[in-house]
Amino acid sequence: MLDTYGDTYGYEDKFYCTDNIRHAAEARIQKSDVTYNENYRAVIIVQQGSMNVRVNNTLLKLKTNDYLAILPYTNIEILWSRCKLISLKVSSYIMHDLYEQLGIDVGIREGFFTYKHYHLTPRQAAILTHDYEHIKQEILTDYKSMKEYMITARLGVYIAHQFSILSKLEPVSHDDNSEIGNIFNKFLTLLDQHYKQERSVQYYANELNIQPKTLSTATVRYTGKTASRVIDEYVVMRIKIVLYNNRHNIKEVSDMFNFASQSFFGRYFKRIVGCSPRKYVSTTSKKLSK
Amino acid sequence: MTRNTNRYIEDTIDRAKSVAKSTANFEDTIILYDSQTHRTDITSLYNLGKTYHLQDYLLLILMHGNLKMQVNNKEITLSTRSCIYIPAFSVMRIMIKSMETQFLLYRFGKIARTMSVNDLYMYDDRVSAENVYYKKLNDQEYNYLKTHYDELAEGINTREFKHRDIFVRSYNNILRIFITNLFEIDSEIKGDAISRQENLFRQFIELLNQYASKEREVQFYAKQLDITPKYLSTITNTYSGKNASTWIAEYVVTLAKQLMKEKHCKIQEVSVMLNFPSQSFFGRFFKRTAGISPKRYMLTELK
Repeated sequence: MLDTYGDTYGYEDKFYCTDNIRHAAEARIQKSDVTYNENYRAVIIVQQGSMNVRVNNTLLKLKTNDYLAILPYTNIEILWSRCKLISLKVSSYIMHDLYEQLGIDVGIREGFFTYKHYHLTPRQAAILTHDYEHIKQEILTDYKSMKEYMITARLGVYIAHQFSILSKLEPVSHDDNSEIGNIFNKFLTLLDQHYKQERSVQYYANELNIQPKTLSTATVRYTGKTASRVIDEYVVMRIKIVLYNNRHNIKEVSDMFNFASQSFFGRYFKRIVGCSPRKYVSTTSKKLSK
Repeated sequence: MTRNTNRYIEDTIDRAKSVAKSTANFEDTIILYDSQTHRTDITSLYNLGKTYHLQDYLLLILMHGNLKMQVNNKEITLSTRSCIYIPAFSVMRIMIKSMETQFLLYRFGKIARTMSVNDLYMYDDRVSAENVYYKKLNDQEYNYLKTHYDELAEGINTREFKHRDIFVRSYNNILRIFITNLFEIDSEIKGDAISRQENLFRQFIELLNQYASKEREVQFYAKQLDITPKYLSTITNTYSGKNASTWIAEYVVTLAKQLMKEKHCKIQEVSVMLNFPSQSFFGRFFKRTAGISPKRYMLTELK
């Protein structure tokens, strides 16, 4: 999203660093640029100035030293900006893998369709900016081997700082206390608990004691997607993470997510992703670096 | 009379902790010593003329002065701004040292190696005790090591650092990747590691010969080889560009084709001989791998 408005340094579709963003005051960003790519997690830290963004229909004003984490499938729209910022965008599969290796429990609602907003102290912002600069430096450095490991290790340092800093802070509350906002939040929590067993809108609507249509109204309002689409995308994202790790074969994954048969699983995956699970594994799963 | 001079002194962590004060210590797995913080001299850690049997990996950066040392019977002279990487289980002795030396010492144990992200340990496995790596550093390399040493020490010593363990692990990885690149350890000893993988690959093919008509699970073959399915796939990928399950599938289809072509077996018979639960399952398996159904294969190939 920000990529086209600043200087971006990337490595293999996995890590992107963006900074030096040009003033986007006049430029209302195209609708098609609005959504962060579903496969990425991103962090924005405002170094100086301020910006207004709309995240999942909530208006946020970011000011100097503000930190905004945007998780996959979150809608973000930049309304106005006059600021210096840094933005770190990492493939969500790499991130999940790293979390697992580092033994971090990402916890409920860390999956997608959400964001986290914090006010940092100048010192805290400086620490994270320092780590960001290191990651960027590694992306720019020519390595004889193990470049990805090096970037990942740098990311590990960043994560250590980020988690330590955020654990001491309370996120800025943007709770939408409207009835429909509550429905949406409860739905996401339920989905995170039951995605392995239940994929029908009917089930979730029943649990929430509402009509399926009401549930869809809520999801359309916050994500622009129907409830069934949200469920499908969430399930597929979870499947992709398991496939990316490449520790289970497709049959095992199919069972893990309670599909009636492997063939049904294959068709389900293909309908949403556009390619078969096998093909997906062969093109994107984690391989040993040379 | 015992002759102590011939004896090695075991360089345990307890010993190191008792002779000098460390700058930073992370759970006794990663310990930093240097001459700047506590005016520690390198010879108070490792006495002149005494021989030490190392238990951990050492990265020594000489900031100032000269050192002559013997590592695994090899004589090495280090001058200002040079660095030496000594693998665990080496035998080391400092022979001569100039009046003033300043150093940074990064010591990490076996546990630190297992904390690594990804398969970094595979590279470390190539560092054997016969190899000692040392070189004179250029400004960039020197500054890199110095800055990282300081940042790591600061991180370890920062109180209320909730995720210090993640920080230390990541830093340990950064330093080890840097060392690997600095000394080109990666390219140097690759041959050795490949032959081990190659051996496993051959064993896998042999197992396929033996079990293909009964077992089609990667898990089974990996278990026989005592490795993880993922590692098995990595090996087959390295040597053939295909993962293990593709290998197995293609092997089974080749067997099926042989049975049909040479022994003129019926599809039903082949399906039973190759231990498929049903003919329809065999048909789908065959079609997925070979691209055509067994029936069509028989019609076109065997005319």
